[in-house]
Amino acid sequence: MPDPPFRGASLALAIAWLLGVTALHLAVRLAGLSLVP
Amino acid sequence: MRDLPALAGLLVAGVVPNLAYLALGAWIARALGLRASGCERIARAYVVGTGAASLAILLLRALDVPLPLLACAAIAAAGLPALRTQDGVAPSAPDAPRWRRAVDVATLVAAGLTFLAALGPETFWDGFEYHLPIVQAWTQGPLRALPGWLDAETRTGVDLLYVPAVAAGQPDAAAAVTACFAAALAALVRAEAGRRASPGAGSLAAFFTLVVPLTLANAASTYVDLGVGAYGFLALLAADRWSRDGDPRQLLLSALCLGFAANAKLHAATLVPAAAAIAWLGERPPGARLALRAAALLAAVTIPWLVKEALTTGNPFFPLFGGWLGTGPFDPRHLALRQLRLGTDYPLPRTAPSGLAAYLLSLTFGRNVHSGGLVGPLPLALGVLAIRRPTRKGGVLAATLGALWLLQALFMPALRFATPILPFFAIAAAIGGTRLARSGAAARVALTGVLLVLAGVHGLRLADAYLPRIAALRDPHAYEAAVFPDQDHLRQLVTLGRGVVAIPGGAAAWMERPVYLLSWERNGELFLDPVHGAHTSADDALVLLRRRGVGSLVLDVAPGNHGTGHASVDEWIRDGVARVRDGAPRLAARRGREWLLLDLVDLIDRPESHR
Repeated sequence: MPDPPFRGASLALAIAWLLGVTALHLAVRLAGLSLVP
Repeated sequence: MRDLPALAGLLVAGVVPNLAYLALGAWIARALGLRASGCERIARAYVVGTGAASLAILLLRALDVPLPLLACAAIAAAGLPALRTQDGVAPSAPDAPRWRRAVDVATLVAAGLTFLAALGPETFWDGFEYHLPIVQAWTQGPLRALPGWLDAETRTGVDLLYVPAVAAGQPDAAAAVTACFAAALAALVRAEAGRRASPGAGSLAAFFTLVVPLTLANAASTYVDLGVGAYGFLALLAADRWSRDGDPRQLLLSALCLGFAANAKLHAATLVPAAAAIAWLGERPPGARLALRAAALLAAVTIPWLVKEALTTGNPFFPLFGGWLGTGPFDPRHLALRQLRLGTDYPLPRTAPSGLAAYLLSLTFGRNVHSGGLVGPLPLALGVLAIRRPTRKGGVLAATLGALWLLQALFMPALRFATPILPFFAIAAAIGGTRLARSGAAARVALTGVLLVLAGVHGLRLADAYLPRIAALRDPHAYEAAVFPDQDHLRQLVTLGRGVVAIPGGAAAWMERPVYLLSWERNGELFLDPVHGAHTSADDALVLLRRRGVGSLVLDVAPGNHGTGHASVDEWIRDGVARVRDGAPRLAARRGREWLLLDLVDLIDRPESHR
């Protein structure tokens, strides 16, 4: 059975999580930001 | 410089052995009655075929039987038609989106570039330091104990697959095997993610599997981790398929691949209890008869390596159980310190929850060369979105993968040791991404944007890593000299040495005469300098080096007259046992140091007062 889609606040949170994690990863890899060793 | 026929020879040495392995796998898959279609069938046949071929090469090289490319070509020609056999599985997904084909084409292009880049010269550290040199030794004589080469005894199942290319005088073609393992992993991920998420997500997961930094760092080299990953992933996957489908052939496939994984890298033996847990603790524990068949298959596949280790070290489980069964010619302190050293590949302790959390975050946000950000952001960004209340078998799989990850994080934090479990994170990302894509237009726009940006970033990295290697196929020496000028200088000095030349470590595969690696991690028998209190005395070190046929040493030293930086070597110089070669060029080593050529003085050459 497929997973139910995200709705409402959980959808906004899921999109923000995707964008945030990706942006932070790129900032570390491309811009040299240092968060963890 | 290679001319066109030489380039064709390189290509043939890269392609033909892999086709032979594929043919062997096609026969085995047919004999086991395994069902699959499309690229999954090819990938599975390749993985199984390489494992079986490795055992065949182990036996043949132990008997000093040559393995010419012509024989590989004959096996390929005889066996490849077996791949065409239809087995009743639908080859395509009817509900696949139209853009899936474009993603698959991009994946194929990436796989092709990976293969060509793998034909470039070996410039990856472990590859030229021990993977290729060990294989070279086993092509110049029968498979045997290699004194002073500890890595020859820690399972070399994937390394043996390089034998046909190296024996054909094409060592640069050896890494084509790794490129094929990378493609096979991507194909296996594509099929499983396609089943668990959606066909489009499966294709995307395959693409990102092939282009993430971890794959780029391994796929063009003779590092064996992608091979271990392919065996281990397929073993765990097949155990899970048994748990879900109840097909006994999957459990036998799992046993076969578990054996191949352990033969390729001994730490992969931890996958045996993991696969057993997946199979037994799920909703379908296998009966005694099936369990015995799987165990017998696992034993049959692993016994040849136990015999080999018993013959070359006296301990069939070397380096395990060294306290009871012995460590053969190797110093147990080296083995203990090597295990300790592996744990330092991540700089923070990981025994407390905060340390583990930092390590986990570093996989996405870290800058550590061994683990930082190497799988890209998608496993965290999308994998988390796949989390929901698990079924019993899903929970068992997740708990097992978690336990394996914990072991890896604690003992071997370099991410390449986690290759058997990382593809599951790609599958989780595919499931999470599919769920997000089904959540409305805004989610699809965000997802598409992120995937396009990441594809661009990873694609540029791939081009940056691979295109110079492909351009260097015509002139590999120039490429080696440009990438590692210090190692090229070392090569020049080694050529001037006498007998076996002792070097600190480095591009042993490039050297034009035999070398002895002074690095304690590599030789397993000598601590030239103190390491955590372990030290070989200057006299004992000299006796050992002479026994290994060493006539000269090339060491990297600080410029100026400050000694060599090795107390034992300085003592030998003071005692007249070693002397700096007059007139040898002083060439640049790394970090502002320079290479120094020294000769060990033969006893009969020494003045009476020094005897």
